[in-house]
Amino acid sequence: MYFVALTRSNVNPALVFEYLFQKIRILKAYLGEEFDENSMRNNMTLIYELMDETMDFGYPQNCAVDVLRLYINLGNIRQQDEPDTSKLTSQITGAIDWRREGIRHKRNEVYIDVLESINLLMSSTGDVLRNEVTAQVQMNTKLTGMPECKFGLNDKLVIEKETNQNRKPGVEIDDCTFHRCVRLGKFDADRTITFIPPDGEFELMRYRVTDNINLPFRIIPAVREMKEQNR
Amino acid sequence: MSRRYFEICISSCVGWKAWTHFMPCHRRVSINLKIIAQFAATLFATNVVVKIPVPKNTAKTKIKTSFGRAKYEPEQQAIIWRVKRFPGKSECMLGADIDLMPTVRNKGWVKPPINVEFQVPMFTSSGVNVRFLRVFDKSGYTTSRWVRYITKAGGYQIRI
Repeated sequence: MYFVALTRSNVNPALVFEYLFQKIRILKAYLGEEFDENSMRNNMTLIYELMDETMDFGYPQNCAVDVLRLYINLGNIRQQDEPDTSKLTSQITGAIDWRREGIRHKRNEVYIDVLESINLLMSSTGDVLRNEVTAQVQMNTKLTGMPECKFGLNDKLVIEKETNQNRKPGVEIDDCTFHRCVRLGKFDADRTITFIPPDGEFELMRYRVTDNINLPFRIIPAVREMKEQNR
Repeated sequence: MSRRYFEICISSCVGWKAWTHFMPCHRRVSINLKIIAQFAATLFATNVVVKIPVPKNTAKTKIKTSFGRAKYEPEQQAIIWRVKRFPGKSECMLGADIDLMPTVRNKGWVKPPINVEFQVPMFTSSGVNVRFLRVFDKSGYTTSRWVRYITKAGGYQIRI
């Protein structure tokens, strides 16, 4: 299946791609991970409605699944409590559209998953040709209210600023991207990661490291081709 | 006339000496592989799969491993070595003797790299770890936090 976007003006291609990826994510949330042409055909009205909400006059609008679920309730999506209409307006137009107010959890829990993927290319003489780690930090938050979170990694630039000398040296993180809930201004100023998290699962950040990588496995191959002439 | 037939014709005209030129020269290949886990001994890697390429004209393989299971899989043209659980700070050897089928023309063996797949829970190869996560809310509740780490192989390749 292909997702195609058309534009009449010279728009930022990153915007178009981001919108398409968000759109796929929303469709997955509504139609299930493995949606196909049939499920799209059967849910045409739902998809029209989602289109209407996520795009206005060619400008991407609200693409947060949690928020869309509040007022688009077709298909097999779980029925939520009927929201107060006055709250709904402030939700859509407010600054924090990825989290609705008044979320309650009995137990407040946060799960953090750091998933790293290591790439290595080693030559036959044992030289490292390419070595990098790309990683993502996944979070699952079950928090009450509108909590303010502060997240810290052993980032070299942060550790060096701290006066405590007996800490282990930090890791040089090459480049990172964040979920849009993270305050980028604050990160640019002093590299602290602060945010009001969305409820449930989301990807907080991605980063890349290219220096000082601990290889989990060392592999030493020896290949010998025996020349064994017939005569 | 096919090219192969043509070559044989030529060689039979030129005589036995030229014919031997077309005889195979590599009849056997031996591969020794040592794999060392460099992470802490308290950890272990799971689902380690090492894919060792072998020549196209492989006839028979004799494989010895110190642990795990290794098998020649003709459809992948490789020896696939699987280890379910690989403890840290340990090392493992694989020795394979490969008999090749005789071929008329020696095409040479274009060696693709050895490819390794694995997962190491609670290990970060970059050394990144989560130092803190603080949650502030007006109601001032306490939060329980859990952190998991996992390192997977993306493209982990060693040329031979």
